[in-house]
Amino acid sequence: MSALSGRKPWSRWTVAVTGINARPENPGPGCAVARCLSEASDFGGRIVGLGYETLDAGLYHPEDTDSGHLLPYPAAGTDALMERLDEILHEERIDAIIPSLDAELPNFIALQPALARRGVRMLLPGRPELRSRDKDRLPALCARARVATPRVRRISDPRFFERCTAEEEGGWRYPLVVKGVFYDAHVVHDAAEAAYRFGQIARTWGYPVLVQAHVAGEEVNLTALGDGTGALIGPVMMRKQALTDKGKAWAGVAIEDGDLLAAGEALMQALRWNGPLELEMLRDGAGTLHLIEINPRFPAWIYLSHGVGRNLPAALLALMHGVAGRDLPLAAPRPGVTFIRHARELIVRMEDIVAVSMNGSTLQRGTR
Amino acid sequence: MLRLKDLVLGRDGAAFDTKTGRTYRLNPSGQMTLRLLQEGKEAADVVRELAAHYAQHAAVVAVGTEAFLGQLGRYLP
Repeated sequence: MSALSGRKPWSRWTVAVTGINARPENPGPGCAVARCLSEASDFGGRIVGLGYETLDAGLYHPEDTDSGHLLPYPAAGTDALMERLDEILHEERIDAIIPSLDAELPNFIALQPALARRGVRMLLPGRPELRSRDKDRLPALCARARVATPRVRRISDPRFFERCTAEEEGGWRYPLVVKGVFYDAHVVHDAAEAAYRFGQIARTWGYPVLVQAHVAGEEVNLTALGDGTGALIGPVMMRKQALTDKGKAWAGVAIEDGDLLAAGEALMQALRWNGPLELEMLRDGAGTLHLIEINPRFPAWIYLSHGVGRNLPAALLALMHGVAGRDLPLAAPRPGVTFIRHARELIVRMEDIVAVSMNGSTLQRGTR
Repeated sequence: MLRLKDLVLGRDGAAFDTKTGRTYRLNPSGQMTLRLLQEGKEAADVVRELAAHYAQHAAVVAVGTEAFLGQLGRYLP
């Protein structure tokens, strides 16, 4: 019998959340996911923060997490992750994990069967679905979904930028966007700037580096859940109103955009995605929406979903427990609801920092 | 075709565009014009009702209404 057959209600689960760094200019989504759960009226379980660095704020946040543990970096591979998760599971039971960083998805997908045997649920896409939303594969996916997307190319030689405007090299036109496979994107206006950003991204994130045609326009985003059937569940749409230096939203407003919704439905149908995702799209001057990225996780602005009555992290747990998407208690869209992100200090006792540094886990705290 | 249904007019005179998330502040005649258009009135009917409401010459109202419709067209592509 599967360890997942227990009927403990999802509202009483212990849920582990990753991506709990909270750097103001580019926070991971994990703290917002944890906050959604801690404020969900029907959730009374425990929340465990899984971080990568001693200073990840979500390890210590008394209002959103009950305990915290460090994980090995994704590059360490699946064996190291499984070994560490087994150590954590020896300390406390975990009923579900919500991975919240792009780079860790392949490891968690590979470990899904092993974790299921240990009674740990996840709702994740398969490897093929994850690969088909890779940035260099978006044109193929978008052709199937009949959604516009800028052309993209993998490059490993920065001399590409000196000759890319020639017809035989594709006739690219500046400005272009230089991107890492997982993170980072810079708009560049000439070959020298492009080569500089290429080197920066390659040094930080490795190869390949991608170049994408630049679309001038206004960014709109959609986050939702998938259950593998092609249904778009609980979409929440948002327009960024103010950006950090890294282009991340620090203020945004909920919108109800029929074009964005239609694009989301088409892409979800093409992908048959399982789990949370975020679409990043740009509307050009003619009103056409272009898909820029699909993130395989909740976005850092997911707390807005709680604000508009569609608490998607809580809904994700219900889906994991077998509740059908159509039966989720999701409110009607509430355009106009706005979020403003702000940074504030968290005071952490020395013994808590020492415990994480020395043992990789926080001291036991009282429940939230 | 204007996306008039996407504009939600609040009691404070702010019109919120649910598609773009933008908010516009309308003066009283703009609010009345928007309400009439959302009720399905044609531009000529709007001019007639505004002229009667504000006791203004229809030609003057027509110029203002035309300008307002032009603004709506720019802001609600």
